[in-house]
Amino acid sequence: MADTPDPHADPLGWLESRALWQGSLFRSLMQEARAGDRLPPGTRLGSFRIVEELGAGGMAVVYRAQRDDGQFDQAVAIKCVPANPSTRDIELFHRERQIQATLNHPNIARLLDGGTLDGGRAWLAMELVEGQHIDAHAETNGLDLQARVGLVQQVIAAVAHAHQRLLLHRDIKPSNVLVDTEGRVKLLDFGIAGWIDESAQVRLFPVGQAPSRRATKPSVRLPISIRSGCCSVALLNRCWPQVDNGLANCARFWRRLATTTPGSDITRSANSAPTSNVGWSVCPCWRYAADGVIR
Amino acid sequence: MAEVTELLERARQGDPLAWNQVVELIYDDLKRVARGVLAGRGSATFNPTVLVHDCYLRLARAGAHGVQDRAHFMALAARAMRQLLLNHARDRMAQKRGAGAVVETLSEEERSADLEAEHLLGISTALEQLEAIEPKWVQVVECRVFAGLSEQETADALGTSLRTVQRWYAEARVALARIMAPDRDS
Repeated sequence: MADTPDPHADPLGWLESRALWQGSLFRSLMQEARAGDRLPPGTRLGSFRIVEELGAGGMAVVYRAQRDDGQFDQAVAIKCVPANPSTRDIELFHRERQIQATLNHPNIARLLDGGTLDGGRAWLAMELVEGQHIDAHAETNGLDLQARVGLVQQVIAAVAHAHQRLLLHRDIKPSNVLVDTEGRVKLLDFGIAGWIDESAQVRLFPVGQAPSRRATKPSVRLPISIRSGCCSVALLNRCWPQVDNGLANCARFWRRLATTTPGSDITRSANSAPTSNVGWSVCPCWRYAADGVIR
Repeated sequence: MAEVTELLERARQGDPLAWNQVVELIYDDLKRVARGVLAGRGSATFNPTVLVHDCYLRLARAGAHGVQDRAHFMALAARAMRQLLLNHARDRMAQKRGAGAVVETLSEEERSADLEAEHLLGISTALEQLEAIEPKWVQVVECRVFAGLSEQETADALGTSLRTVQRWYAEARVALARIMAPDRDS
């Protein structure tokens, strides 16, 4: 570190500097401290056996695991609470499991099983998605606008499904949206998702809706955050650098996107949008209702 | 309950079992925060003060109480933090020697961790020499640097005045630099 004092000339200054708590040595100590979190390959959880680690998020480590009860072959992804979890960790994890259990959609990775290890470490087994992040998938396959729009529509379908169950994902970003080998989008990681009633800004039963419909199905208007919007815009913008669109056009585009049936020529209608001087990158929040229609 | 009070007292007297228990307590808390630190939450800043205070709160739930227990714990926790960093630095150095003449391509991160380990070991050796001259100086350094305590908290932990802490810290700075660079000592 450039601003670190020379430890020989000014040892106390060195100890006081960033070197101590933000340096590599401390990070290495932290990694060692975390080693106990890891489940070694071969660890048995319910009917599954850990094969290898896939990655570590802020809260839990994700493993590839294999069914190991002699019934049938199945590869799954297992997410396990770290060792010595705080009560908040456990609470969040149980919540995530419950949320996953209420979701059932082809574009959302399915919950398969769950349990608790000795010592209170809860785990869940999910459908293992073999694929790439949505942005990497679009790049490596050189997808055109039409294909990218198709991916975004699948993301919207997944998000809409969650919203119909009054759930907000709250962390939609390319690394949480995988595209499997068959080109199917899978939305992952409801680790920080929440129920809508936890959020202040929700209007149930928008005005002007028929009472009969109100009675059968609560319709919800959500201010969607906006990372999903930005994420999509980034994905599409690659094909579309010449279009410099404004807020209104952005909303219009999303409306078209949501109402267009797959296969129709959305690229042409979107391209014909008039231009203004506000860039896509500032795409604000967009609204749509739980029936999937963007307003 | 007097158990925690007794543990702290025994650790202060140099009972190795009690001391190890205190180090374990701190290490448990480090494990707890490790995830957050590595995930870069809280803009990747680790705060030793928060850690030792949280650790004391756990002890308080287990029966620690009173100004005395708190003061004793803070001074011990500061030393335990130093011990944990030092142990890790030693482990790294031992591993490096163990690797022998094998030419390894280390990452930038690994290399700088090794370099920091070397620096920390050097300074820690100097602190041991300093301790032989004036143990209070080392205690102040431990509280201020390894536990991140404020001057006032350090004064409380060591049962002395704010002014004295300031003086000791300034004296320790000079003495430590002198030990580290004997050539410059006229």
